Amino acid sequence: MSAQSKLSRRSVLKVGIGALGAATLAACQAATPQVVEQVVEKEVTVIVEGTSQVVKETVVVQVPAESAPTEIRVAFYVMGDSWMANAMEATEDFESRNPNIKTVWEWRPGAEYWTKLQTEFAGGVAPDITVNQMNWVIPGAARGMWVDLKPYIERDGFDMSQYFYPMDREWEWQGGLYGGLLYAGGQTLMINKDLLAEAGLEMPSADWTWDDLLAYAKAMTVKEKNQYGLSGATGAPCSSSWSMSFIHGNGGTTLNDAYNKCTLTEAPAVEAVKWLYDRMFVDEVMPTPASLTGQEDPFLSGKVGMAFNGTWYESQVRDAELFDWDFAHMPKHPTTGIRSVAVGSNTWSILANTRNREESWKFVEFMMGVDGQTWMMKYGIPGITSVVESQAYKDLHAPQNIQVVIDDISCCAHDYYPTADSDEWWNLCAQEWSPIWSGELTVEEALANACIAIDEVFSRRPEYYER
Amino acid sequence: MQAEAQVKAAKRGRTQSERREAAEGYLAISPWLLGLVIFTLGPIIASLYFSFTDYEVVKSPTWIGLANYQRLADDRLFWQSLKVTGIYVAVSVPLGIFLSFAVALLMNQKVRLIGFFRTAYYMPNLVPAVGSAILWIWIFNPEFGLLNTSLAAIGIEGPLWLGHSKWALPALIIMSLWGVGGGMLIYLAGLQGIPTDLYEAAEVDGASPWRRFLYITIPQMTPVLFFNLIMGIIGSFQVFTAGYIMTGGGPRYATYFYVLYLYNNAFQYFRMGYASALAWILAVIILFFTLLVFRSSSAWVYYEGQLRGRG
Repeated sequence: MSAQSKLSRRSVLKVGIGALGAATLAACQAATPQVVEQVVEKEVTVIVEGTSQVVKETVVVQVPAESAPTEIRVAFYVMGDSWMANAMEATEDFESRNPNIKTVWEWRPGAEYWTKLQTEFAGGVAPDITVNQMNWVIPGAARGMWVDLKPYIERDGFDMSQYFYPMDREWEWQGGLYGGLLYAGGQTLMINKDLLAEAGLEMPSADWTWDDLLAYAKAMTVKEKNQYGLSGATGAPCSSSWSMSFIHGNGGTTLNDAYNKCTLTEAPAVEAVKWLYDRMFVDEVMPTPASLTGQEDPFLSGKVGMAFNGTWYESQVRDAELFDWDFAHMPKHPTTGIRSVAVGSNTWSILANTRNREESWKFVEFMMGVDGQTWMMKYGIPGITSVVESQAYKDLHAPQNIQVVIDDISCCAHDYYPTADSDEWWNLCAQEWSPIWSGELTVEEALANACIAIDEVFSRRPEYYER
Repeated sequence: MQAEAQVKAAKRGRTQSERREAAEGYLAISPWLLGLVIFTLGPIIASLYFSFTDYEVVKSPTWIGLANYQRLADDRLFWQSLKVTGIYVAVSVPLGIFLSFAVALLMNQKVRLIGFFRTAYYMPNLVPAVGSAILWIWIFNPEFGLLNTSLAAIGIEGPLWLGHSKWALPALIIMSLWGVGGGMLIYLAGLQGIPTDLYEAAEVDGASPWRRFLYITIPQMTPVLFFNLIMGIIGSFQVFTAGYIMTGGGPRYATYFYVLYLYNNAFQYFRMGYASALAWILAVIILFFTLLVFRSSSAWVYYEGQLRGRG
């Protein structure tokens, strides 16, 4: 090969730099469209063999950028296909009433959702709206991540009295409201009616007590079949766990009213946890947490007669169609008469660095209102009384008696003690709670350790953490 | 004369063509350099800065000087996570080296289907970490898991494994040994690089298999052992996935690894500043042990052709 025809290093570099520059310019061009395409449906008349047939034809037209609808980005976890399809229909309804707003959904993996959202917020590229949950709302509100909805609610006269579901403890922070209800969620008690019938029992009444619950659990426990009467009550009484309702039912609490001191060492809380402990290790009507690791859900696999689950679990059990089942009331404490259910719901929150506050509020207002709650009633409990009392809502959940769940949430709800440092003390609480169920520590020892760890977190709180 | 010319050239400095050549070289590697600065050096320098701040990620950092580092001394979870990680490194690294070396010795035999066996031992390294963790959760189930079922078959009642604070960390160490195939591959390459004439000469001199192993194989393999020891220490100090997926750091902090604590501070507790300080402490610890091994290597690592002692 001659010296002239050989490709020199300098030539390669020049071509490479030139190509890089051209690509950069092209990318910049692509990022700044001068026009946007808007999909418009229009009717045209097509004449077929002497008849006139009206058909709808979709055409694409270009409109100047300034008259295009405002795009708002809505981030959500990836859900089941039918859930997402339902959300799209609700969005179409919203957009038909608000043609100046275009909603772009971003379905994201649930894992690390919160981490990614924080990072996007820090980088100034967060979506306009996000789904929110109990352990994110208050921590985010304390750090200025969400828009306070109260000014918009008051300005537009949004009727908050139409809700039966209390939102203040979960989503209020220092006088502001930082979440708009997506749908209500909380504790349910599901009963496998096939196993109930095998045990010769009827569905329990609304007035049944912890003693009745134990009798039912014993009747439905069949050791030979590795079948238990009850499950789901041994999670730590912090975060989303159902043991909390037993502590409350016995007159105890996890934290004091100001949510700045642990009260698990007080007698009512200790007694309640001991009651659960005896069900597992004395009566043996509950499976141990260790035996459940890596296993299929025991209720869904027909190995448990009664299970505490979240309302969000309903669609999974319904879609599985494995056995006949129904909701039962949370039993009352035999002495205190208290019935308690833990609640924690999903909300819509507007990110504080959105450039489209009004449009975002319009979307949240729609989804919080009767129309949005009606759209979402298939997948959760609407917070609006008129929607939840509608026959359409009850029919959607038939043959199960969803009214049981609504009644329990209406009368007897307690939140998960959301604070600005929820994740930290919940984590430590769970760490100190686990040795109870492996027999390493007594109930008193474990709860004492839990309170030491929790109070230590609270002692390091900066002032602005107080509600 | 050549040396003299080189000295003269060094004193003169680079010629124009040498400078141009150097510039072209830097230009050619500029994409990689940019990536290094933006995605590696930049975040490292940023984390050093954040370690001196109160930084909640979603708010601007506030300078607080050495407060994050001072806090470490009284932070019981810092010491707990360091202890858990230290135990994990101290046990899993030597065990891993021993087992992978032993497997490599076995795989270095000329037997039928040796290719199949080598593949079988390496396959676990191809399983994603999360999938592997979920699989081992199954294996460790105290009532229905493979491990306790096998132990029961020989009359041993297995422990609660991941459900008990005494057994959770040993369980994760056992799980880490599933990946011996990676080390095995490197040892196998090393073993196959040992000159066979060394073994022949030793055999002629009447050396037993054990003495050939002790005085030929081991010394020849010390560079590979050295490499795997360094990589094992660096990797094990950063253990995270198993604790995050399988135990959440429990029960009762028994598997609360250092990086898990760092992650929780950074992304769950809004303490990115403190997490950055934790990261730098970990970097110093890893650097310390790495340098320790490097310094000791002159005493036990033999390179081919290297002369030792008074020569």
